[in-house]
Amino acid sequence: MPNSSSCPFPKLTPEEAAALISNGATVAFSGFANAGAAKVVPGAIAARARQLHESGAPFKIRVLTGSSSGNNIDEELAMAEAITWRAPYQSSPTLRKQINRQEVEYVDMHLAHAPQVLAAGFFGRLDYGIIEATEVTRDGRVYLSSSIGASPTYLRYADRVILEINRYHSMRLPEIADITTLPPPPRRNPIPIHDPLTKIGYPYALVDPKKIVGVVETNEPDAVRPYTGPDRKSERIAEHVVKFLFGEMITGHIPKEFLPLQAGVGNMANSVMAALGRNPYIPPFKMYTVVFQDALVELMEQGKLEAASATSLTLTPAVLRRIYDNMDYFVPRLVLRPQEISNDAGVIRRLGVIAMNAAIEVDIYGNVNTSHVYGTDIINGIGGSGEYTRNSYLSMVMCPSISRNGRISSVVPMCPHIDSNEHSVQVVVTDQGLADLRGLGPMQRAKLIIDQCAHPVYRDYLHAYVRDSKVGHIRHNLRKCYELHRNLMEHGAMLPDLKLSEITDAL
Amino acid sequence: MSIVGSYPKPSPEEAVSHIFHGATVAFSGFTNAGAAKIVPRALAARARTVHEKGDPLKIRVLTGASSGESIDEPLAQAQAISYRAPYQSGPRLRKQINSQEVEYVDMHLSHLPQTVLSGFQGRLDFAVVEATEITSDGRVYLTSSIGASPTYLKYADKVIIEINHHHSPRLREMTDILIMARPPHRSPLPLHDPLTKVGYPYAVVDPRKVIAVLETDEPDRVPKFTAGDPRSHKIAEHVVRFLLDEMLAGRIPNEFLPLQAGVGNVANSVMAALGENPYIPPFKMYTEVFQDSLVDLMQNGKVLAASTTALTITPEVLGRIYANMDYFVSKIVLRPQEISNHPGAIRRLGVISMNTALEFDIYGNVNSSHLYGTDIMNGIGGSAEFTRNSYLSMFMCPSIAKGGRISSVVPMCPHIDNNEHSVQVVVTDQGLADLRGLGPMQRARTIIEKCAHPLYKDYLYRYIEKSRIGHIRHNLEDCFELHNNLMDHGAMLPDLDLSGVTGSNLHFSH
Repeated sequence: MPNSSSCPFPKLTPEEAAALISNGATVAFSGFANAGAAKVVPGAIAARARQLHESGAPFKIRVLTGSSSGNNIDEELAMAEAITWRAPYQSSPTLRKQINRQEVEYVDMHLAHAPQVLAAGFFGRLDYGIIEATEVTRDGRVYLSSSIGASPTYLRYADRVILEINRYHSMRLPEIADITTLPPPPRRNPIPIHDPLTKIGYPYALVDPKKIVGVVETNEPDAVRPYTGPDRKSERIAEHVVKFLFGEMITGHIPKEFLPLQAGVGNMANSVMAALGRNPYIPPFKMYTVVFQDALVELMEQGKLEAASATSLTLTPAVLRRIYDNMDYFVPRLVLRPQEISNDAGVIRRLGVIAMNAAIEVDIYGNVNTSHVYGTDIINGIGGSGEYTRNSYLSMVMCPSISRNGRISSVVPMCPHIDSNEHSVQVVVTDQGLADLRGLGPMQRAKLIIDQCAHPVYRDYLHAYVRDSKVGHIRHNLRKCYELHRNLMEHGAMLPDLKLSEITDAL
Repeated sequence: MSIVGSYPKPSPEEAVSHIFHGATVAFSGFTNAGAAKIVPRALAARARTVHEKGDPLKIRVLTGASSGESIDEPLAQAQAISYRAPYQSGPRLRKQINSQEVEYVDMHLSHLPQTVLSGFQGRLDFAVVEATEITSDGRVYLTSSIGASPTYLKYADKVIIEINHHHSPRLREMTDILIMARPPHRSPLPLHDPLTKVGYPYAVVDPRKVIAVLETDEPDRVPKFTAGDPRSHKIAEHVVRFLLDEMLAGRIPNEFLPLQAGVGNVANSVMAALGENPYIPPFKMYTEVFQDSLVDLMQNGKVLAASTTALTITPEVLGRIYANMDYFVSKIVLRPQEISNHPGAIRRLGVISMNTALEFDIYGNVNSSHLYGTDIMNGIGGSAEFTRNSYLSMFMCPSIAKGGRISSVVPMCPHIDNNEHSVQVVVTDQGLADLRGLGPMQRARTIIEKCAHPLYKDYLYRYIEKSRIGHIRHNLEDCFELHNNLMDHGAMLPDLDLSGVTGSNLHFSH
């Protein structure tokens, strides 16, 4: 195994690497949910941007990644005002502000779609790929680190490549990596995945060695922050989910061996996974998911989680260390795939994945807003929620019934942005309860969502909305459908006259 | 022999006497193709008699997709439907749904068989399936559509078979039936090409469940589409030019990619225009409905092959296929809707999807199903499974309707079947907007500039200017002003001078 002294490519400092990037370039970084993100070159590019801006010269780049890459990439570059265009996902506070002020153009995309769109040339030319790896060989095998994301595609299509070789990561990560890049259509074979653990590719990505302009050496952990502890609402949501899935198993809708699970990122997903893990009646299960998070490591150690397929190990450094120190145990249980495969419509459908994703708000008919507050302000993006919700065997969407002490209801008459619609969303869960929408027409759905999921202080309003609306297959009043949202903008509360002191179990 | 074995052969009236109030009945039929014909008629008559006596008789109806004239219309006229899924297109039933007399679940079509087999739809009391033959061991050779019939035959408690002698018994040569296993132990669907066959030429039923076999000889009641209007032709021109440019730019390979086209005049115009263009190479289709216009294209060699779940073809044109099966059987595969619309196959083959919208908004969200967000037209059908999973997704509609009183480009759609994350290209008679790689404000400018009718451009630009700034600009006070005006005044902008508007279409009319 070659060490750094025998690295066949020129060694660069971060500053030397950053100096290669020109104004207006399209740059694709490795990184998926903060895991495996390029770590030192983005900061050096940001410093360069600041210098150039001070001397009056323009410097902004177009940024692609796997998905979010918070502190390492988006935050640093956004603070230096060095981003003009961003795809396919982001989650950084500074960049978010710039997007919502329309200083940065942001294309919020389905994640499995991004590699195909790039490969087909729809994004134009890709000038640079800046990719974190544990090792690169003379013939261009690149062993990626804690996420795969879209890096194999970026390595293939970028004109020039800079590698960040990060010695922090375990050299055994290739044992869990399974990399294939799909050929262009129409002559593609089925993706032969039968199980979350099936491997179909190679442990490395490939790059034409002639494109590698240099290698930057680092030794830094992923900047993954811990989630705050579970709150009461998340635990209530988790209880409803566990009871429902157990019921589905008893009725035979879910087989006794269970089905592979997908869970979104965040507190609610963590609470649900922990609750499933604790419940003695839920059998040990597998996951086919996007992001492998802290809560899952413990479940895997206990044997409750038998296997997981993901595209990133989004783990806090201490927890990731537990994996790196115990690779003999984890290697046979984990597979890291490109996001094009982890989120592939066909595989999700075939395996019969149960999808559990968080929403900002749901409407009374089951349409879901996961990305835009007021229909205007981006929070993060659609991410993989659309591909899982649309193609899963059973799709569940979760959110707290109220937030800000009841000033906001997460159940609304109409969502002002729709990421997953009523045709794809089957089950809605809040801390109040669970609404199983399968087989129901719109009016039955509305009644169930209001009675089961809306907070009691908002139920009268929502029932009255339905009652007073124009009759049709769906009932709506296009003058009043956004009254709650407008109240919130104008008065800081969706129903300003509500007595919020009556709400006891607020956050 | 069309009926092998000793199956009961009662009269239609006796057969439908088994069907009780509250039963869930699944009929064959995807569009009017292959729809059950005898039982719906007899059942409607029985419902009328029962209703006259003051007794209730309403059933829950499932089909493959729409089945207007054959099933929905007669049963709705007899007020015999309480619940309907997954799609419909009958005017009478539509009214009953929109007046909330009938509960309607508007579903993704490939999802339906899976929800039936997993028990999400509850118990399936009866299946009524049209076939060309049934054997003593329960092989059922289906007719001009496959739809969800294989699943219905498998999961229904009792089965009625309608043997229709009108259809060619050679249909089985283009039929490829497979029922997907339950997850999680499913194998990849080994489909590499629109013509790959992965299953059997027949569906299977447990013979003990068959309570009646009826016989008929009548054609599918597929209505003729009206000829394309000038706006459809303009849309078709834009689509053809765009696809040609994509091919020249190398984003579509020179052998082209499989196409999917929705149902209706716009799709027919586009297919005809693609067929006429000498620079578009002969191509294949991976689609859900095979329509009249494709038969000509297949006969002249421009459509090389087609995979579909229904032959939605007028009787005369279907006769041409039946008279020339030696030519057609090697070029068409009929599949269950779970496979014709399968997300994995659509993604793998790199399908170019072309579907029709009722309206779309300035950011690229599409309403395919509900006028004003309330009144159902038909349903989402297969549009979302193709749009979401295709290599290139296109939506088409005329820029205006009702002489300009309606703009199909609006600030916000009051129902969203396909969202901005999945829709890549929108086309009207005015032009084509390629949204790939664009953020919301670039999308809005492109859509207004290229697709909106000139009469509505100022209004749409002003809407953006007045709106709250964010990643997306919207004004939740005014976003449905055009729709509210249309409801109140019969026109989206009542003060517009429409005297200069030419061309017409019935796009928004019921």
